[in-house]
Amino acid sequence: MKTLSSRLTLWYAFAATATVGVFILIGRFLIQESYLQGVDQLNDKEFEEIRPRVESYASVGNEEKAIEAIREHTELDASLFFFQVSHSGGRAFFTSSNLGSHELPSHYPEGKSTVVEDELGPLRVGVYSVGDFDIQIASSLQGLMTLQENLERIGLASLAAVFLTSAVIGLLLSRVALRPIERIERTAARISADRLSDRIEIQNTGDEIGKLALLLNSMFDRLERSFEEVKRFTADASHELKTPLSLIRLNAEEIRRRSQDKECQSMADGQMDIVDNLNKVVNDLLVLAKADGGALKVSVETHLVSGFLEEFSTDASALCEDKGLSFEYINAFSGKARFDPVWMRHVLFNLVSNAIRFSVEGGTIELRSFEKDGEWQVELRDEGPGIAPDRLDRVFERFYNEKDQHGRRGSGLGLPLCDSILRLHGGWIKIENRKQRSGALARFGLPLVKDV
Amino acid sequence: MRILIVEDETRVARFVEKGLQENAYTTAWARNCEEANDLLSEGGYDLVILDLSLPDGDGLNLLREWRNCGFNEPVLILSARDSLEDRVTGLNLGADDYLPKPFGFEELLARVRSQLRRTSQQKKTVLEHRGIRMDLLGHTVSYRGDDIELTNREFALLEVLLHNRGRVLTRTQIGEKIWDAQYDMQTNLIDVYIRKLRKAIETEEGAPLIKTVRGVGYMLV
Repeated sequence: MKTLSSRLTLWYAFAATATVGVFILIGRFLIQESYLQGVDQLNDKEFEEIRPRVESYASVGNEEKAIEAIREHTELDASLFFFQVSHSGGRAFFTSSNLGSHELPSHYPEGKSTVVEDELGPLRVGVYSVGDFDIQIASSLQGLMTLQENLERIGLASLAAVFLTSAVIGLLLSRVALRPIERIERTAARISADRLSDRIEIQNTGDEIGKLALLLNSMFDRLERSFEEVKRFTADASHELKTPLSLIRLNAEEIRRRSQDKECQSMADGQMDIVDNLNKVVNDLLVLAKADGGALKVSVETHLVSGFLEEFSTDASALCEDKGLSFEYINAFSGKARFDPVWMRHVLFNLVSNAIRFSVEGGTIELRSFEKDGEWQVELRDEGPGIAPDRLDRVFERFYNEKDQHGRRGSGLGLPLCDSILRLHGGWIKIENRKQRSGALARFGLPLVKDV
Repeated sequence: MRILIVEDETRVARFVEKGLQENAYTTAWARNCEEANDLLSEGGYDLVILDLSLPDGDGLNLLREWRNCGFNEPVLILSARDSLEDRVTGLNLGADDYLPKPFGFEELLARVRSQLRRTSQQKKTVLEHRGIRMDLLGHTVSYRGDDIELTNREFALLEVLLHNRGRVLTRTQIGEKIWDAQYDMQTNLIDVYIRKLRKAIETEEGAPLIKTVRGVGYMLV
């Protein structure tokens, strides 16, 4: 019963069935009451016919005469009534022959009551007193029983029918009622970073769903505005920064080409390197700005982790080998994860570059991939000096950088960028020191993909 | 060969025009979408260098219009927007190459040349150059008759160099060919593979096989 529509349908069907059920019960009760009333009236009538015959004997308590007076009558009416005559509150001295050996209990309270006799079935008994005698007149309730049995059968059948019909009607009704919500859901799902201008179509602004849609639309408005701002800012900043960078680079190239002076040429080379480095910083900053504003587009898809990591390890080991380091790769995770390979590779290269920068010649860099706590986790360990404990907290600060053994510094944007990228993937990253030996340990995790 | 340059930044455009003219290309310069449309409608251009941020519109829209109107010559996008999405959108819209700013002129020239030469590239299964023999079907390489063991990456790199012998290849061009269009240059990975390739092949005397072109890239000579 996951969806609202199925719950609504079920509630509706139960409510309708219960209502009909209650009506059937009430009907059954009313029919029973009016039936009993009718029987009582017949009993009363019968007594009115008997009373004049026995009245004179009853006052003197003459049993034989009284029996004689009513016997013929009781036999005539035997198909309809059972009779019994007793002394007031005492022994019965006459029972009609249709009662056979049965005797109606004599201690009924005066008035009307229903009793069940084993062989005769339910009886409605009226107790009347005439002088010294109590006259009990009973009618069979077999007719009522049959009526009620039929009513129950029909009632159950109609309850089942009502349940099924109301389930169908309820399903249709809930579909109709929930259709606007489904539409909202579809539109909202479609509205993502690249289609922010879409809005939910509103049919009726007065009702609850219309108000919800209005609210969502105004939220999307605000979101779109801030997205647009980030996009415009990064586009403008990009243009304003890179055009002059192009000119510097073009000039440097030109100087290098024209100049015969070796020193001049090497200065031009240096300038080109600076432009390249500056360009990297600008790119990282722009990516960070976009990620902050939620405008960075990542195309997250399901990928096999092993294939992706093997590709990366090929290149990572080439990089390590080049610096006289060894690279060790162990993957214990054969599943899949959802990520954008381009950005994930960016993260991994960033971490490996850091590890290389801080490693001492002959060292080993280890890459471990495994499943832990319902996540795909990756660890990258180096054998460098590690990070001073008071600086560990600051490694994700922008422009915070550590000097390596050669006194060089990075841009201070690499790890913040990794952090942003992993957050966009719903993951996390941590930097710590290795416990068994010196060295830094970078660890990140991404949620697992369950399907095969 | 006539090249149309669509670029709003005067100094950048002048630089590019001058450089291309020195290399015997004829150029025309449009500083906005309107001028670009006017010039292009005259016809006779073999290649367009297109900046995306133009004062009166987006270069991507311009490109879409041209491609819809049946303009088939190569278009090389030159843009400050380096994000992958712009790059992919540009290539999807029918651009033939995408060069991010800041760019070097040599790199631009290399790309212009490879675009104009693209049409006449034939498929060979065996590549030979100065004693190197590469069999693409058998995936083997030999140097002066001796087999050489290469990793997949080294093999792919050598293949790219052999296909473009005598031509400067920029690091971005190499990266895009060996990995994919989305390769980003944050490491010196290509230099590392070039070093490995040199170790594998240039074991003996003589002039270097792979020449480093300072500030641009590499060339097989």
